[in-house]
Amino acid sequence: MTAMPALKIEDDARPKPLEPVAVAPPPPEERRRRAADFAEPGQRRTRYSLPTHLESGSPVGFRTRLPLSREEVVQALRLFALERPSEFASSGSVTERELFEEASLGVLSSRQSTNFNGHRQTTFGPADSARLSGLLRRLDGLEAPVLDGAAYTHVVFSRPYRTPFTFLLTLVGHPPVVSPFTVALRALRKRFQHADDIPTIGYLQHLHLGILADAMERAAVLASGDERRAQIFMAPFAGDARRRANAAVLEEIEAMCGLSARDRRQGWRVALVAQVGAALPHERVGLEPELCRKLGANLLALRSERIQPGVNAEESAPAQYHQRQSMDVPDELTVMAGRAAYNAFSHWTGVSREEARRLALLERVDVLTPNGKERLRDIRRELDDITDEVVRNLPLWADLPTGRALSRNAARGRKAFALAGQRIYIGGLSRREVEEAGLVWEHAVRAFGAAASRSGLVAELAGCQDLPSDCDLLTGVCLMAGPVNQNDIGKSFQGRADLLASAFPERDPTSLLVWTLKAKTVADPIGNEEQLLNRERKGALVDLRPAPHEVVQVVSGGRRTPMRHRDGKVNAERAFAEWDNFVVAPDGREIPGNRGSAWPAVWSAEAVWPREQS
Amino acid sequence: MAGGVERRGGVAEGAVVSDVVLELQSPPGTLGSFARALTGARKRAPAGVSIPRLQVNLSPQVAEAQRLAEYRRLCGLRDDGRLPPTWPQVLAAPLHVALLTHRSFPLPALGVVHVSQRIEQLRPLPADAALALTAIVEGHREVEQGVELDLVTEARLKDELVWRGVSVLLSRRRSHQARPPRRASEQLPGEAPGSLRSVVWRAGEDAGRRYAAVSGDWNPIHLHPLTARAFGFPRAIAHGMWTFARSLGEAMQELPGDASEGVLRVEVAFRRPVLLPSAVHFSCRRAEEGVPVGGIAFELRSKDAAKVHLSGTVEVGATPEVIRPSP
Repeated sequence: MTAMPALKIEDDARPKPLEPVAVAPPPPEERRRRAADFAEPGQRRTRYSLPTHLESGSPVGFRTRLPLSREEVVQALRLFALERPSEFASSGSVTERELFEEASLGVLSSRQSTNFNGHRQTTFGPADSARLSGLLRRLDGLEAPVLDGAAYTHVVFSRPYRTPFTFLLTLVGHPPVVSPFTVALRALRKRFQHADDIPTIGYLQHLHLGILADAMERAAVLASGDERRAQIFMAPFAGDARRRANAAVLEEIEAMCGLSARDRRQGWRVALVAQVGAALPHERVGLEPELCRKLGANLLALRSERIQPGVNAEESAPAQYHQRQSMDVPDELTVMAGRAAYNAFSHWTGVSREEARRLALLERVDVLTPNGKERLRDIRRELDDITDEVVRNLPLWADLPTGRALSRNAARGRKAFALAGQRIYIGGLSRREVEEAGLVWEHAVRAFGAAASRSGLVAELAGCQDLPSDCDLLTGVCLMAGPVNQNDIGKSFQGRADLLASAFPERDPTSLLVWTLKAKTVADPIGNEEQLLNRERKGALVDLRPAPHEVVQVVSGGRRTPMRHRDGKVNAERAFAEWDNFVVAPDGREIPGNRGSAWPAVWSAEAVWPREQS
Repeated sequence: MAGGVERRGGVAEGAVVSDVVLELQSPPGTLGSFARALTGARKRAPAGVSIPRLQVNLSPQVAEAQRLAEYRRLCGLRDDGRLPPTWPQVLAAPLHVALLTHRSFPLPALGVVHVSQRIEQLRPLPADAALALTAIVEGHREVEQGVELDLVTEARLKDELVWRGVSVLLSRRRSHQARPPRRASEQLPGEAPGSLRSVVWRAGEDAGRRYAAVSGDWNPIHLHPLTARAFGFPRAIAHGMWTFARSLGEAMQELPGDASEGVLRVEVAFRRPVLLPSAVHFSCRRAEEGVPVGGIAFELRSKDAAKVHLSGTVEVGATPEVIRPSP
């Protein structure tokens, strides 16, 4: 079999430096905080109320942003311009706590659609890492050199994206009369062949992976106090041709991880491998250990709430949401967000920055301009039209027995397409151009996920710079696939054009993600799809993020053990809790269960691989 | 009594007061005890009669390793090679049932409620310690809800007193079978600031059966909704000692690093049963007014923190102050 060429890392793929951009808060009289409170006994709970309790093994919890000084932001921005490590230094022992905290910033909190857990991780110690290095070197399509001396190695599995929304999609786009048969056929193909209803649903799996890779790179730095770096590989596992070429090695890796036949039937596949090792002194990022921990707590806060940058102007919203604030997303911040996106795309594909700028298609919609408002209206109208047609054409034989629940849920999606914000990026790629550039499409989609995520993070970080005490944040970001998915329904079943078609004519674009930036001081209500769909949980607020034992296993002494599942105990610790940035009511009362409970100190201080340390 | 000897002591003047001492080589079976509890449900103590001094002694027992491991798992306790502070109370539970169902015990055993518990562990106990146990009940106090009595348990390791517990039990008057009144400590939803730990646990539907298998406490109120309803509960309720052990294990992690070597003192008040299944909220905080300095105060509440199931304190001191029954 012909070996596929490895990616060539171009010399001018180095990231362009990012600069901190201050976001001016509004005048003091306009500043508002969410100030969410518990519903009093007898009072109806709404999406604006604090949850009654949190029952969760996730390390995240409900957090608030921590203010960062300009100098701290300058240091933090280095995390968004990391270059790959050239080699690993010799490594000391790794404690259980460090591994937990790294996972907390990686696979346990990486952005995914809010009601989906699509990743699993198996972590190996030094001895197994040496064996994995040998396997990695046999792979075609490596995008970076395999390094020796890894302290540990993560193997990440991913699975196709499946949620109540994708269940609904099974019923979309079928001709009448024959729909009972075509729906059944599609359902079977989805179940047994992991087919997708629309292409963008398939892309979501890869976008999530790119986001995770970007997060894991930062996680290795922060959890180790800037002692360690990660070398992450995605390319050998992206695309059918690569997977076929690497089938034998993939099988060995899967066997090391204990992937079962049942796992494979559910669609779990090796998607990413991350070697983590001690950084060479001159390759350290240059962050103070205390700042590493503060950033860890802040990154969890950014993942804690689903920020919706729009103004929640519904009547039931508290007063602070109705008032407009004299704040704008500075143009410089939008530029930095764009720069971060190109840096990330270049970093993960290995193409030059110039090539990244050419391949990553970003349409910027400035809502503050007349053209921007018009563009936004057009998009909303288009997406609404698509939704209307979907609702009209849902098979009655499925919708009526559910009391029209399906069409109601389909219509509810309009809220997801509100696209409120001041600066909006619609991003995507041209498959034709990507492949002409020698990139594998799936790999490029992963890199784009990383790009969008990093772009949003830069804006969110700016929203913490010099954060006044009477503000929740200064800028918020919402990263969405909803509008793209809805557009793809229109493309696939209604003959409509891609969202990016007008901005990039003749380039056959495929839109992948939308992210909106909004300057505001009020954080939005916490919420997720499960809460909306599940009556029993309404108002209770469900935290669907996984606990460590649910998605991470650690291999030590030949045994695979779920992380933080020991002697009947599972994790209830919130990572980086010493920063105490937990959501509280205005009178200081806390959400029961939010603060969590630390893992026994004796256990968390243990070396994970005591016998394998060099 | 199977495997044991019963001795009777002297008779005092005035009201009939007998001393009974049971000497056991092995823990008594609880099935017989529960059967006696059922048949003794109609007991009424004559006016003016106090509870005689009843005592049971159990020869040294070593904890079965598997049983101890399962106990730790159920209660979320780390295996540190020592006996959990609540373990002697678990070992003594069959002795307590034997006392409360003895023919000389004048009150009906059914319906006796465990109101509070005090424990003093004078030193850490190795997991393979052979503990000799003594349980004593004597006298009572008249309280508003009924009759309150102290059940004192002592554990000895080679004649050295190493552990002492006082269980305060309440035998309710018929007119006081209703729910306790709302207490001042119950509060609105949300949790006061200052918690060191705040976590929601889930008590599964089978929690009572699993704990019964380890502890030997097969009281039907803990086992199944049907058996619990026969005794007036809407669903099975968790063993108080399980909720206590679980809470104590969590709270002890906040004690100073050298806590394992000192004298451990624990007090807990049981306020409201935990229905099964349910989610409950545990929290603990540092000493404040009324709590021993350096100690940890802990609470188990409903998941929204509105209702209190139990509250307690744990501290480590240098000097033993052997706890005594209430006056």
